[in-house]
Amino acid sequence: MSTTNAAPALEIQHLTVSYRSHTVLGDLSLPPLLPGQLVALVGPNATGKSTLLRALARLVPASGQARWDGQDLLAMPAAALARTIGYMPQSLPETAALNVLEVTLTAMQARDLPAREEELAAMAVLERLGIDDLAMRRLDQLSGGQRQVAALAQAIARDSPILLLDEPTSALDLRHQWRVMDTVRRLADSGHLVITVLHDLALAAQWADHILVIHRGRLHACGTPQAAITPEMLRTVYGVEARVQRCERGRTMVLIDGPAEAPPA
Amino acid sequence: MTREACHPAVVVSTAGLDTLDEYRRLTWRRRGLVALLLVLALASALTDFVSGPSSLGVADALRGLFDAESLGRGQRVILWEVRLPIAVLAVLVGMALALAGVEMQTILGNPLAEPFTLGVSSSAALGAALAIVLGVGVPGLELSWLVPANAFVFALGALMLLQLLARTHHAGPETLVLFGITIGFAAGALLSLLQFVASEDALQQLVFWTMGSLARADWTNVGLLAAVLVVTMPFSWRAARRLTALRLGDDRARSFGVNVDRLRLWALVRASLLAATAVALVGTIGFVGLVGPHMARLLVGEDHRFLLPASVVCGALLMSLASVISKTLVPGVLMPVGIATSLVGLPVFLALITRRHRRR
Ligand SMILES: Nc1ncnc2c1ncn2[C@@H]1O[C@H](COP(=O)(O)OP(=O)(O)OP(=O)(O)O)[C@@H](O)[C@H]1O
Ligand SMILES: [Mg+2]
Repeated sequence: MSTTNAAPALEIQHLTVSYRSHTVLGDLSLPPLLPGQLVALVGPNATGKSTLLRALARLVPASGQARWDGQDLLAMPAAALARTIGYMPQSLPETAALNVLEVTLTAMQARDLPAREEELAAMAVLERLGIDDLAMRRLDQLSGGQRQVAALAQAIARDSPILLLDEPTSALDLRHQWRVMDTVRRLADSGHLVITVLHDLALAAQWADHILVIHRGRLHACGTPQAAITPEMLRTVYGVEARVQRCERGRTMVLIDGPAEAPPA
Repeated sequence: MTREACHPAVVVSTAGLDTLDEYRRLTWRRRGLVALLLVLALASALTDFVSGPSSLGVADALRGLFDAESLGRGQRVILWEVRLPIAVLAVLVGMALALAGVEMQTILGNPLAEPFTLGVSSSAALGAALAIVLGVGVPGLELSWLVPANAFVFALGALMLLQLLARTHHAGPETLVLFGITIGFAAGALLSLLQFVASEDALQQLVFWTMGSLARADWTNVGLLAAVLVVTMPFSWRAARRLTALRLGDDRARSFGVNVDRLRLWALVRASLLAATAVALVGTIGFVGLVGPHMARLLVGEDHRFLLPASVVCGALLMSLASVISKTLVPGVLMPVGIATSLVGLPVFLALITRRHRRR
C-alpha cells in the first residue's frame, strides 16, 4: 500500500508480452493513468491493444511492471485482481442457458456480497445501461448488440476501480453507442479509471480525456484528443490521408481522403 | 481514494424491483422442480423395490420395508439383500453418472462430454476384461473384487492419462475431448482383442459385464458408492458459482477471479472418482451421464446452483426407471440394466432435442 495520500495511479513500465517467439508488446511504458480518467486506446488492427488489456487482466503472461496504488498487478492474488480490474473481452459472450441477470450476478462473485444486495446492485447496473428489460432474457436469445451491452454490464457490475473495455461499442447502433459512452464517462467521473479500446476516433475524441495511440506494440502518441489525433498521426499510424476538423463544442471530425502515398512506415 | 467514490448508492426502480421478484419466483420454481424430480425418483425407487420376479406382493414388500420381522426368512433375504440394494444402487449410480457428466460437460464446454465419450467406460471395460479373461489385475484380491478393482484402476488411469496429455500439450477443452475419444478407441480396440482370444465362458462373462448390470448390488457396493458421493458432492456444490462462470468462457471466468485451471482439475478429479466407481460396480452404462444433465439443463437452465442438484436427481430418476424396466419388460427375466438405460434414455433424449428445436 502506498503511504502517501496521493491518488492511486496505474503505472505501466517496460511491459512486454510475447506469444511464443512473436513479441506483440515490446517494452511498453505509459504515462501514469489516474482515477477519473477515461482513456481511449486507439490504433490499427493487430497492434496489440487487446493484448495490452489482456496482459493487465492477467490473461496472457507479461513481464515488466504494472502497478496500481503501489500494488503489483502482475503478482497480486487472483481474487484481489478481480476486485481491482473489471475486464470486458472483445469477443461477445458465449451463449449459455443463463439470463442476463444471472450472468451479471455470476460476474460479481469476487465481491462476496449478500444475495439481496448483490441482486440489487446487478439490477442497478442493468438499469443504468438501459437493458433492465432484458434481465430475464436468455443470452442465446439476444442480438449481437444486446449481448455486447450485457457483456459491459458484467464488467461494470464488479465495481472495480479499474475498468478495461475492449471495443464496447463495436456492435452498437448510434443511440446505444451514446448510452454506453455516457455511462462509461459517468463511471470515470465518479472516480473509476476507464481504459477502453475504440476504433471510432470521433467517439474517442468526443468522450475520452486522454488518448493513447498504439502502433506495432509501442506507444506512438498520447495526450488530449486535440494533441493525439492529427493528420500526421493518421498518415504514419493508419496509412491514410485525412483531414482533422475541429467543430463546435470541441468535437473532432476525421475525414478520410484515401490511402497515404507511401504505405505506413 | 474515497471508497464511496466507487460505490454510488444503489438505486433500483420499482420496475427493477418487480423484475427481481420475478427472478426470485424463478429460483423458487427451480427449487420446486428439483424437489418434484426428487419425489419422482423416490417413487421410482419404491416401485423398483416392490417389483420383481418373486411371488412377493406389493403390500407384503411395503410392509417388509418397515417391519422386517413380519416376513419369512426367504422373503426377508429377497427384500433386504437383493431388492433394496438394487433399488438404492440404481439411484446412486444415476446420481454419480449424471454428476460426473454435468461437471465434465461444463469444464470441457462440450455438451457431449460424459464418462462414455471420454473413454472412461471403455477403459474400465478393458480393465475388467483383463481380470476376467487373463486373470491379470490388482494383486491380492479374490476374483469377485478383482474385476471392479481393475475396472476402477483403469477408469481412473484413463482420466489421469487424459489430464497428463492435457498438461503436457497445454491442451484446451476441445483437444481434451479429442484425447478422450482417442483413449476410448484405443481401449475399445484392446478390448476387442481380448474378446477375440477369450474362452467362451470368459467371453460371456465379459459381454454381461459390458452391458451393465445391477445384479451384483449388495450393501458393500452401496456403501462404497454412497461414500464417494458424500465426499464429492459438497465440493461440487461449493464450486457451483465458479462452474457457472466457466460457461461464459475461460477469459471471463478468469477475470471474475476464478482459478480456471484448478477448477478444471478438481472437477475432473471428482468426475473421475464418481464415474470410475460407478462403472466399476455396475459395468458400462451409457446415456445417463448425457441425458440426466440435458434434462436438467432444459428444466432449470445453467445456473449450477440449480443445475447440479437437478442433474443428480434426473440421473437418479432415469437410472431407477431403467432398473424398473429391466425387471418388468420381460416378465421373469432380469435384463441387463445398461440395455434398459438406452431404452429409457433414447426416447427421453429425442423428445428433449425435438422439443428444444420447436421452441427456437
Ligand atoms: N493467442 C494468440 N496467439 C498468438 N498470437 C496472437 C494471439 N492473440 C493475438 N495475437 C497476435 O498479437 C497481435 C496483436 O493482437 P491484438 O489482439 O492485441 O490486436 P488488436 O490491436 O486488439 O487488434 P484489433 O483492433 O484487430 O482487435 C496480432 O498480430 C495477433 O495476431
Ligand atoms: Mg482487439
